[in-house]
Amino acid sequence: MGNHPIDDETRAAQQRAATRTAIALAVIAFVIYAWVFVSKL
Amino acid sequence: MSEAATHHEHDHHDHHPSGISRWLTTTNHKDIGTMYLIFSLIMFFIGGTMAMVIRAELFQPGLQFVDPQFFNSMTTMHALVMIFGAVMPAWTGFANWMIPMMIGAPDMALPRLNNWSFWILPFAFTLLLSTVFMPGGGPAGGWTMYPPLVLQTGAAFPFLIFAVHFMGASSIAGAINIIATVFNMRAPGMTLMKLPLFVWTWIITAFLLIASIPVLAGAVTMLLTDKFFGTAFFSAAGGGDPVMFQHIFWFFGHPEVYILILPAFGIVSAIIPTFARKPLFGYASMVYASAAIAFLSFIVWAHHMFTVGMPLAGELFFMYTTVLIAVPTGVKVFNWVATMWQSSMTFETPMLFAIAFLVLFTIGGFSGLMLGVTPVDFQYHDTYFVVAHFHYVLVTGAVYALMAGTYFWLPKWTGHMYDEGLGKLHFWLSTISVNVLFFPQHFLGLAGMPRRIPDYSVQFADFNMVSSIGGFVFGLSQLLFVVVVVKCVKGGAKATDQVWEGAHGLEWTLSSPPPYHSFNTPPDPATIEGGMR
Repeated sequence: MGNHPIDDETRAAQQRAATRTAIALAVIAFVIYAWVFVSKL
Repeated sequence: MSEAATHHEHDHHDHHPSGISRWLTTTNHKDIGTMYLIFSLIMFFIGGTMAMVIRAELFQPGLQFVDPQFFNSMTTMHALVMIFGAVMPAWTGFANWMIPMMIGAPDMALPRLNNWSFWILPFAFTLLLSTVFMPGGGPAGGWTMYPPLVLQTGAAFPFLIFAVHFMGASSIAGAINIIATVFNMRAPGMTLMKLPLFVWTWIITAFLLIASIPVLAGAVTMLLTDKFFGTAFFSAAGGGDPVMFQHIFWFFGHPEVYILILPAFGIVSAIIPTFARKPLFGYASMVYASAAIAFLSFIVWAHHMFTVGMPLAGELFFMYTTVLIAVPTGVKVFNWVATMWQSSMTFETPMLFAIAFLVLFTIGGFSGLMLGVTPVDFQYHDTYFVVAHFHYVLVTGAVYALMAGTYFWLPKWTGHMYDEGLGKLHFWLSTISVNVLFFPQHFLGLAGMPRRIPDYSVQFADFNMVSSIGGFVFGLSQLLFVVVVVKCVKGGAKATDQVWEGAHGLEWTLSSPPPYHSFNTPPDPATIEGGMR
């Protein structure tokens, strides 16, 4: 098996998946921050 | 076709701005990695200068050079600068440089976020360091920022809080980028259990960051509102609880310890097999041990607070979970030793630093076990024994792994071999002086010398003098490191692509220095080895 260039469509799909991962993680981080603050109010 | 030749075809992708705009606007993982590493080195020297002030003041009993308030701000700022400005950005710099090359990706998944993550840091540390020149001086209540003491900070207080928020935002953004990259950008054939351990330890570190940094951010936001907006989260007079801050802080603080050390485990797991010329012993157990350490790090926080007072069941729980961490950590130490067992070792500078890490970090681990035992901690708490413990873990642990990693990958980054003679001189001067610096602090602590004080009883004079001499030599020795790095960047013998005879992994298939974009064409899956390091 040799080197196969990744086509633009695959690369774009990777980028979309990475963006979704990032948004999910950012939401988790914000929820933890808000929970620490709000739970002590 | 070799990778170097393959990537030669992609030279037309390598156009980038030159001069200052290249560095301000870059989205390239290598450029951003370089900026992180340079920033971290500058912070090491700023934090190191503060350490020199501390050791100069403690050279002999009595007040010599600085007043107690300034001394306290030096201990506080030294910790904040070294943890958030030096070690954490250095790991992110290594991650930026190495992770895309190790997983066969062209760059990080979110390059603009990457640029933003870095450029927050100079602003954060300008805010923090500027406080030293403000009325009332810099923060002086300790890096742990315990209320009510920290609320007595003068004009520096809001600067401290916003700096911590910015550092946290930078760390979280960096962590998100690393997880998004590893989970979505791996080359075909690079399965999770084939990832180099440096990548594995960084994924686990990134999850620790995302789970723990928001907790710190919540705590310091509450400090801010207590100070300026009339809340009483931590004020007993207003119905709040100052001890609650300590619980919240250490729920962040203990995972933070592993944020600082887990990538070090990854680097040592790359270096020892290379110079032992053997695959890493127990790859899978190393991955599981790292995950176990990360999990346990969330259920041990109150071992920092035994003397604050808690129910017996709480003391027992936190003592047992703390001591339990020795099991996965022991798995790692035994695996590194087993990798070296009956191997064909050579002792180039990265290997020397890695072996010193193994021995000296383990000493720090043992003193950590002692501190984790509740009744014993009552004797050691807030003494120089604690200072000795965490400096063995963080200096001869984290910083030594950073040195080892720099010497290991510097030829790959620059395309030149570094000066091996100077590198070894740096190693031996550092290793002798760092033990002269920190080992006597165990004795000082056991004899009862408290930490965070500018003056002390004459009975502690001799060991303090020895420790200070070690400190000055260690500090000056680090100038040699700068000489080695600058010399290597400027020139030297041409490095081969593989650099080290026993090196395995995708980064070594690229040219030295690697092309601007690492793997526009993914590597041949047949070249991806698993479980080597």
